[in-house]
Amino acid sequence: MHSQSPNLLQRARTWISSSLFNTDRPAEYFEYLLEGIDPMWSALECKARVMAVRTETADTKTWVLQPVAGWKGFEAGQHIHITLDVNGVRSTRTFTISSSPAQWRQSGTITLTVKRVREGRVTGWMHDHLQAGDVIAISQAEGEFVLSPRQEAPVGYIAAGSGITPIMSQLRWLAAHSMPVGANLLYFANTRNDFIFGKEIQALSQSNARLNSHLIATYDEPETRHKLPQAPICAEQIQALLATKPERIYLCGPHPFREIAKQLLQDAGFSADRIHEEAFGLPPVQRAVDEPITVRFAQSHTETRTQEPGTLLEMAEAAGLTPNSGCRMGICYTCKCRKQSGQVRNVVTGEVSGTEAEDIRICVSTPLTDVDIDI
Amino acid sequence: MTTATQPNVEQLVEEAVRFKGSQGHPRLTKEQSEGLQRDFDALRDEIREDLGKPDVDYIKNIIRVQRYLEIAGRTLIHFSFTPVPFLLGVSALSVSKILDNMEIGHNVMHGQWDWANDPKIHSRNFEWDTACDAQSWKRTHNYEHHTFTNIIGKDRDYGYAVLRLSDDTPWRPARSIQIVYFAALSIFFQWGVALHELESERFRDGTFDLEEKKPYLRGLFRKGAKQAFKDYLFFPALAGPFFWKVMLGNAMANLGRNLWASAIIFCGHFTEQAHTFTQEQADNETRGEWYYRQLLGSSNLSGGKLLHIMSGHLSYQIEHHLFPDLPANRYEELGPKVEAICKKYGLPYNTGPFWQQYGTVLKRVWKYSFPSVRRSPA
Repeated sequence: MHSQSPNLLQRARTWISSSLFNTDRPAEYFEYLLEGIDPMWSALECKARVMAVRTETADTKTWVLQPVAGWKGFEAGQHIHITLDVNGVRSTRTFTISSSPAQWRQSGTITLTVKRVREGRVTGWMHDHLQAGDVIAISQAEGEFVLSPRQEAPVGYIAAGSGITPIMSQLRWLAAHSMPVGANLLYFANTRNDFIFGKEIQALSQSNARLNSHLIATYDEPETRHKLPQAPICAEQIQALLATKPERIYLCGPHPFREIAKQLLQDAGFSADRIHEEAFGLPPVQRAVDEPITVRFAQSHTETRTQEPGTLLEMAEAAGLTPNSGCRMGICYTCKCRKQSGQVRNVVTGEVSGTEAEDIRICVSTPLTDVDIDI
Repeated sequence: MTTATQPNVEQLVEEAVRFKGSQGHPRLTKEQSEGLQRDFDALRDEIREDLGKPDVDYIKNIIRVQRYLEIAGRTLIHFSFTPVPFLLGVSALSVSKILDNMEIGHNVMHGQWDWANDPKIHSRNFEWDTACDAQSWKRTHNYEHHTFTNIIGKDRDYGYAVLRLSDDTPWRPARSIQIVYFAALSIFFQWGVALHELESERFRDGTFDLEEKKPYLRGLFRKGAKQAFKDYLFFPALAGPFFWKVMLGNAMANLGRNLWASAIIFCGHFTEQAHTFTQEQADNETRGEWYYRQLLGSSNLSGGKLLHIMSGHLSYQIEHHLFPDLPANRYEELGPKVEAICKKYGLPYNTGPFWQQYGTVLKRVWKYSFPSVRRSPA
């Protein structure tokens, strides 16, 4: 009886809200009103104002954001999901914070450093249109790519391209606290012009004896693009890094780069459980199946039949449907839909669902059998 | 070509013409229907590619106006002690319900802003301020009515199973007082819409299946109870001793919305010039022929911006039926282009002022109250 009462109270609250406001959450009824009065006001999400935009390299910019007071802060290396209107289309993407928590405490601002993805709808729009004064929504910070509070032995960093961003947050934080631990960085980029924060990293290394950085370009000049001998990553560099006796290694960069780096580390005898990885995006979905699979989108009276199913979200979009979606990596639950029947596999965890009706996240679910879903 | 029996040219021409000008349907050749499909598809693609922030801002602004009106209306009804502020409150609440149902709810549930990926204006989540629950509406309206538009026996919106509006429906003595049903349906429109999926006409022919209707009935009672709770219990109870005043105000606001919404909706398909179809005519229909049926089955209302917004842009019923998932704020710009395409193919574009169109609806309801003596061209 005792355990049921909050549940009953909650249900009564939901019932009353849905009868008065036609939504389970009263905040949704008032959301556009608040936004209309002040775009920083919201009863549903945390807002942040763009204070400034800086150009880092030819294809990378940094946005300085000032979140509202309700935002709880972050640890160096963590990421946030940002939601912004890309010409009216609500879009969510995940980026690591590149600034130090020290800056957040002093000035209440954080920075996101984002590379323009080729043909990227959202990053392209950010580069072309997101400017000082604009307001976006941000999530609370999350992520395990952080320094241990009891860290004493030196740490090693391996970054490629825009993978430097969470590491930069940590380097800035370490430098601001006069390097409580030693740090050694291997940083790879296409040409010498493509090192994001290149000058700042070199300056930090010069002023802090316990920070050593090694910036390695893959090609000589942007125009000629001759491959340089040491590129992109090889056993000698790994040996040199391991010679500094790192207790942990933080690794961030594109998926193929991380695979090579991990292999080299393991070949050199560095155990996998001491490697911290930051990875965004889904692992490749294992596609081809023996029998063609039919996915029926019940509410749209549409169905798709294929032997190469992707995620249900991709399949719905390919069928011309527009289900809600957010992070597209199984985190935010925006895309949650009711599966009426059929089995799906979670492409992140590999977990296989039951066959009965249940809510699933379509962005990380790929069908294993015929599936009926309420889209 | 070595077929035994070669069809003659006349036969081929005959086959190429689906609608031969019979039953008052204008002639449409195969070639014309293909052209119609091309032209309307191109028009739809043109708007689709142009959708963006202004379209989302439009609906957000309408939602803001609706919220302010609802809050103002309920506050005025609650605190008014003289007729003028009371009636102002009733009007504000009624307009808020009209906006919620017609310009916001009906259009959002068609998925007109689904591309914006905002759960608050997405067809999957939206619920509205009326007795009919959103799921039932999407089944009966979006699917049945918009797919089988004006096909007698298939489109149950055509007369709502209580009105006889064409000779294709057999006459029965009960139809002679259908003008009374018409008035009752107008007054209790929100409940009529909510009960639509019950398919009460199936009681008559004995095909009603309670088991099959159970999920619908659960939704009906759940949503109906919530609406009644809000307007006839919760807000009246807040006013304490003025319970009956608030209840009366809310009932009047609902009545205003019911009369307006029903009048607009009847004008959409029941006007004198709106055509009806048989299932046979719609069998194996091409997309061009589908456009043709939507076009001939719908009628517009001419008027100003206020009429368009208050009717949920159903004053552009033709454009709405051709492109039900394009944002309603685009219909005004589509109007002249659709009319030009109609002209090109010699097809009618049925439009007129509200009272004139509503007059022809009443005429139609009256005319078909009586058994027909001869086939009418309408």
